Amino acid sequence: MKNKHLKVFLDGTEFDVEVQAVDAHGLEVSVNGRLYKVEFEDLDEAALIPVIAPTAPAGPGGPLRAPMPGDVTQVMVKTGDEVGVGQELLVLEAMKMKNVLRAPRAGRVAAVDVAAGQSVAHGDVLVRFEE
Amino acid sequence: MSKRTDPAPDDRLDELESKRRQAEQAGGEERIAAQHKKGKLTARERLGILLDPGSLNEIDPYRAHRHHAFGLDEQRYPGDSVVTGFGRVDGRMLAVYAQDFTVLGGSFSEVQGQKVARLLDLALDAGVPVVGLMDSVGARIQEGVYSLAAFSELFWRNTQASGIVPQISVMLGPCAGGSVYSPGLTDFVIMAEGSNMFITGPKVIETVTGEKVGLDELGGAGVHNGISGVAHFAAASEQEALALTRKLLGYLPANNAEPPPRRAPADDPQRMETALNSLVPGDPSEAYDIRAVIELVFDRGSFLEVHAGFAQNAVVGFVRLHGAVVGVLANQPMVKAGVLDIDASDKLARFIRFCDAFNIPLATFVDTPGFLPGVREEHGGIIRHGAKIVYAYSEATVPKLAVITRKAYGGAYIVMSSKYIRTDLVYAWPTAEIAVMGAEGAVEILYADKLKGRPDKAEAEKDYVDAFRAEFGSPYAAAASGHVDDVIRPEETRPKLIAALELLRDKRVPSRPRKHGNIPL
Repeated sequence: MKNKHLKVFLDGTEFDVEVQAVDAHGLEVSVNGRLYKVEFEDLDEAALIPVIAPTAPAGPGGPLRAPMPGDVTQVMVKTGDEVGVGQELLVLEAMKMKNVLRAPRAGRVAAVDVAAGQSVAHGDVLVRFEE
Repeated sequence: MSKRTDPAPDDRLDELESKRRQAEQAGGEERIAAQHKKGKLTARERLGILLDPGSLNEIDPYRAHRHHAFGLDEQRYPGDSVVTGFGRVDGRMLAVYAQDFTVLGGSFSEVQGQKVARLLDLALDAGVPVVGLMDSVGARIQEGVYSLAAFSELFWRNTQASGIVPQISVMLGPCAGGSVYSPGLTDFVIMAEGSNMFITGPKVIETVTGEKVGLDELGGAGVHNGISGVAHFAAASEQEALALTRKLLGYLPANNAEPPPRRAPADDPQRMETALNSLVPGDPSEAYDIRAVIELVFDRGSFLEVHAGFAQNAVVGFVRLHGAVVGVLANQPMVKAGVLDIDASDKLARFIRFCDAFNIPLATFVDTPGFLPGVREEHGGIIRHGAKIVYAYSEATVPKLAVITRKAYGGAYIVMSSKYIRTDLVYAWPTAEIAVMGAEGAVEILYADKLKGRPDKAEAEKDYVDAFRAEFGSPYAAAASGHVDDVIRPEETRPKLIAALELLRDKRVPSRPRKHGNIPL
């Protein structure tokens, strides 16, 4: 999950606020470096939808390969980009669904082997990372 | 009553104390220091973390090997290379063993085999779970066939205990060669960072196939949790692995004759989560995280995901529903569109069978576009693997509930806990689509001839798709013919499932006698 970094001014004082984690029950925020746990009580509606990126299997290195056959419809990274674990890399349309493919690990993108509009087979290399 | 004339002299007690100290020293100070230097704990330290404080009752601490060859006569340690005993986790009894790496590398010896076999026999008679803490170089080569026989005795007992008492293997070091089959036979494998498992190691692999591969890359926690599915949980450290074991035990009954442990409900049974109403995107090609549904429906914070890194297009795990343990299964639309494939089939089927064996009711959330098409899947035996899901659901006699959140297409609809395979209650959200396939795919097949060469093809196709959606794009056609039991507001899911589970708590299903079924393995 991307960290949410905010600067809050309250009565002339600056607070450095960073949201560390959010789930259905609350969130963890650091305020000027101190960590606080906030629990939701009577919040409803969309605010409670937990945002969790699937834990990428921390498998061995190697490139990101197509998990299934489909069409690449969107590429969000380019060679040289620094990416974090779980960051969205590209969209693979398959089974009439837009499948967001995420970075299996952190690192620098060495090459993007596909472009939007391209069809790929199961196991095709999509994105390579620098070792 | 005769007067006692010979009270145990103090030196007898002293002797026992000194023998105890010696046994606790295991492989000796040097070996213990070496273990610590690697950042690893000793067998007894690990048991101290796993069990409630002071609850370990050791068995066989003095049993020593009887071998002489290859210098073994000079390396005889009381208790040999394993600590066995029984103790408590959160007050509940279980049997434990911990391989002791400080004694001849924790090598699997005749005595280790005898001690662990004795422990499993005891656990099976007592009806308590078995947890093994694994850290061993493998067979004790110096003992020859005695070592191999010892392994086999354990494998046989693992099999006898399967489905009677829960068995958990916690990997805290190497586990190589034949010895991997004990964890492989148990219900859950937890791997700590730095542990590894493989049948043949990097050296043999390089000699035979020429492949160069490192220990971690071959059989580390990442590989077995992400690729092979051999492991069910990954832990960043030994401490985390042991804490996870305690947590997992909290969801499991002691044996198959017991219900899973109930907890006093802490969450509102009538809690309606309006967020659920808008969770499924209007666009059928958009994904959402099914784990959000699970988190919102079941008791807050109760979700323990199993196989979290493996076959992520399916989600399985333990939850609590108004305090009662439930096994939850789901398709995950945000990974591979939520398709069923070979790995997802194995993952779902194995989890269903565990839950059924141990009286844990099943709740299934369905949103899948179908089985993954492709030569690779067909040649890989998706028929054989997918059949495991049908078999496991059909065979399961625990209460079975299902909620169709969106797509329920074709064969995948049937296998995902449909009414036909005797799911007790099937609910559908208003967003449910129950059809042989998706609208676009269906139109391509049904109207291929009519659409061919038409100048207004796109428009006509859209009309057909809309017509198909009108018929099958909602759950009402299915509900009108009894294929689903009710259409519910998503926010009502929690109270509906709680009521259903209460109804089915004492569900009984008669069975016909047979030796055993023949699940398509």
